[in-house]
Amino acid sequence: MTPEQRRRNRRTGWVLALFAVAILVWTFVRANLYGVVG
Amino acid sequence: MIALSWATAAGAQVQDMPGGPGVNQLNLHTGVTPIAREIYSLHWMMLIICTLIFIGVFGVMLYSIIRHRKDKGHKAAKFEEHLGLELTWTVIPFLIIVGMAIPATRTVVAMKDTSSADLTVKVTGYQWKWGYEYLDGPAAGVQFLSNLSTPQDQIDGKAPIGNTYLMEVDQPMVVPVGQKVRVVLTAADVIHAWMVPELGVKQDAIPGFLRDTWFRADKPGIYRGQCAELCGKNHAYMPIVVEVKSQEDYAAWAAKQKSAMAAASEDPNKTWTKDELIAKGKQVFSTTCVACHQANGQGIPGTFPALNGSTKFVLAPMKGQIDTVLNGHPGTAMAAFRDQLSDTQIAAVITYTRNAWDNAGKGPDPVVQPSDVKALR
Amino acid sequence: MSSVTVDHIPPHAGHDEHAHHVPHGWRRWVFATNHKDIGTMYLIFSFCMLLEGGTLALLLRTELFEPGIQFFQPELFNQFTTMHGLIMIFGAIMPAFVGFANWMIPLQIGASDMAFARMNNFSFWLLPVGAILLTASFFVPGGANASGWTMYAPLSLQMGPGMDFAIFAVHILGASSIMGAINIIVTILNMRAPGMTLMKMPLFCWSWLVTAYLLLAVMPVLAAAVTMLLTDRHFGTHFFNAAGGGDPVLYQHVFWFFGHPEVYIMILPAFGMVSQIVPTFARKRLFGYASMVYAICAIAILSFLVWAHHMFTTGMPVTAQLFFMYGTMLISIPTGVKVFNWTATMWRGAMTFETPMLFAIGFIFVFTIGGFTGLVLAVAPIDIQVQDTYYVVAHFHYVLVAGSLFALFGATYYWLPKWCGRMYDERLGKWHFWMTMISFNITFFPMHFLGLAGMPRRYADYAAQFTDFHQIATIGAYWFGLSQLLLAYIVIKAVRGHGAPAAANPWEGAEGLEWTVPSPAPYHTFVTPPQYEASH
Repeated sequence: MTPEQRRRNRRTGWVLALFAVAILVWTFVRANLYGVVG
Repeated sequence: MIALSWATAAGAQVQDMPGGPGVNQLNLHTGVTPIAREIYSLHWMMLIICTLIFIGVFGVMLYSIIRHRKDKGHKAAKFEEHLGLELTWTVIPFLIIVGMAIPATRTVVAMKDTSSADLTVKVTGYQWKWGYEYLDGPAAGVQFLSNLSTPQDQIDGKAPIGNTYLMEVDQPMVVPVGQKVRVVLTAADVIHAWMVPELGVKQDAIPGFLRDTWFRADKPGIYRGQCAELCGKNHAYMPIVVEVKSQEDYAAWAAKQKSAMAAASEDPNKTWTKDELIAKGKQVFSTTCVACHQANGQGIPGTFPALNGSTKFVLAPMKGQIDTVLNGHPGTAMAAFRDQLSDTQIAAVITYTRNAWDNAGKGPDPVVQPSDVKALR
Repeated sequence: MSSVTVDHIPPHAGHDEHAHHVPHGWRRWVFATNHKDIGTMYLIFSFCMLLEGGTLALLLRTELFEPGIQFFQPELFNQFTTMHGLIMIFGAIMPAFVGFANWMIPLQIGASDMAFARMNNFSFWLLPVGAILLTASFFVPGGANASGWTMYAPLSLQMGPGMDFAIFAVHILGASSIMGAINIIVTILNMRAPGMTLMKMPLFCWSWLVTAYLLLAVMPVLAAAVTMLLTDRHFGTHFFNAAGGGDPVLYQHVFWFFGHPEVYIMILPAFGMVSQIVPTFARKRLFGYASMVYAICAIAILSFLVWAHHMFTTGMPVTAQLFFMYGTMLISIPTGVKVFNWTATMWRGAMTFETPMLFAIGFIFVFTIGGFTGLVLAVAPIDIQVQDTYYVVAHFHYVLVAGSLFALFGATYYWLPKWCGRMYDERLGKWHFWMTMISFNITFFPMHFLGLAGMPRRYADYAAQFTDFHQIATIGAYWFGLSQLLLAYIVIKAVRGHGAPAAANPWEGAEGLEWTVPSPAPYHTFVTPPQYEASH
């Protein structure tokens, strides 16, 4: 792997990890809203 | 159907269960309600269409397997796509799906329409039995619990299994024929589900919420179902029996229920003798407590506490045990029985435990009166 | 393992191999960063879990041989049922597919390894930790989780410490899946050989690309769901407790929002495998490559929109019932397209029927049956009658066992020569296939009848009228379980070197970069990326 490739890989990897964390957070937020209203 | 009858405790030849499953039944019940019959037809429609498609596709594949083989000398063709073919076999299935969805939609809408009911019954799921309460009609105010009535000996293999094994109860739900019965469901502890295949009904019973469904039985008879949502250890042991009677028989049954309830209504201030309480308490114990605490009072080590020799609650001042039976232990399997059992029943079962097995003569408060329970509610 | 190491470096491997010496002993495996080694470990782990999950199934089928309780009290039976599901899904099927991804994706796209080799190691080694937690949960007070693999509240709130073990195991296994998914996406997007555009990629890679996105999107949802169970159990929250203002059905929505894409996560890579095997043995290119890609994407997108078809009896409004019914029925269309395309690939090919092809064709046949029962279940009124009955159990075992597991078996035979350099015993392979195929149908076909007749699922005991079909299912299950020992024998035999040496491409019709490297594949492959020129 070239250093350039490594850098691109890391960037894509972090974006995807952020996506996963965002979904985790969103689920909790939705559950709290729903739970309070429902 | 070849009966693979290993010699079992069952002994006698099994027959179709009236109102329940037939021996080696292959298909849905035709049912005794219009909805059940619609579902039966929908299923046939799906089965026929899917079978025809299946035969078509795998007929082609089988032909190919037989003819397009290397060992028959067939040379491979080179084609890789065909837009027309691909569009066809996308659009045609789509149209078939639409065709299936139209009658299904009609039935969905009909099943959800619980309006204009002739009779409403509230059904509550408990661990592990059903409770029925009539909200209107000739039986308004009648309420009772419906427990599995199959003897434990049959379950343990000590007695031959009966023909209504696991689908028989001490008190069935009774409804009149030809009337729209609205069933309002809830649960006291965990999610249960009320299912009666002959009626075409299944509805989850959710604690803290009310859900409803309906049926209109067009034939008198006895119809059987079971709990259809995992609810703990006795999930398989809380069946449903619905008895559909003619309108006159239903009215007669309702009248009898109401007078029986009046006669049995207990004066909570009455003082009972020890023997009366123990006898009644033994009955309550055997339907309500034995599932976990076991008939010998030993419980299941590590899971359900023993009552025999229990110094924490049973061989201790009565307040702790009354509180436990009334309010349960939240976060454990010990439910609150304040709404399921009357003061008299609670007093009786507590008295029974304090005098049964090895407990007699040990511990304070060997006799608990209904008024003691009422005071702590 | 001897035929997978490069103790004997094949003479035609690149001379720069000497620069990276192959590690030996336990360090090679504990600190593995090589995609082939990690793939091997995933596959061995998943097979062990298959045996553990299978043993649980045999235990519960033994109890179900006759009505009445003979061996296991219902509470223990419920533990077996629950753990059978959790172990098979999270311990056997998912890791097996990841094992194949690790082995084959770099080889198929011409990459030297996965994008994140060290994270790959961590992803694997989390799995035994999760598996130990799950297994250990049987031995804590109260036993293992007994609320079903679906862990519905409020029942799951009543469970003892075994439930907490299961929750932590799910967290750990989920973290492993998420990291694996990130690895796979980045590898596929960034490390394809020059000349390999996405639409020239083998379909197995496409299926994993889409699956990895699904994993990324829904494993966090599961993590949230079980965390909320944990806090409801121990930290005073009321997400699912009506008395505190919560809603048990909320759990079901969150769980199935994960749960439905999860089942597609378990089948899409299988579709990819079958799409590699059938063209090889038909000696004909896959029919409609582009449509197959679109179908995979359509199935993945639709899978997010149909979760409540698992909840038709919870009492949702009419419009919701109809929406989820229509959405679910629609998924059959791209799925049907795939079946038609595989058939068209076979049509006018020049087929031979070695074991991988037997499993691939067997997959199409039996998975389609499962697909049809899924369509029947999609029709909400019918679902009302058969939800939570053995009809559902039959359906999902047809798609998960005859689907996913058959594809895994077929792909094992297909790629085993590449992994270990030997041909497996073809005669024994065919025995494995036929025994598996026949015993599978004996076990699960009668369950359709049981379900239609009203036999509920997760029951330790049943009415006498159901006995015959249960006995047939139990006998079939034993035969099925024992047949898998034959697979272990076949694989071990080949790996230990007892089989004809395999050429770089042992399959006449196979195409793909993996068949351009020697068999067994050298420890390091595609150290310099190849120029990819094949057209599609």
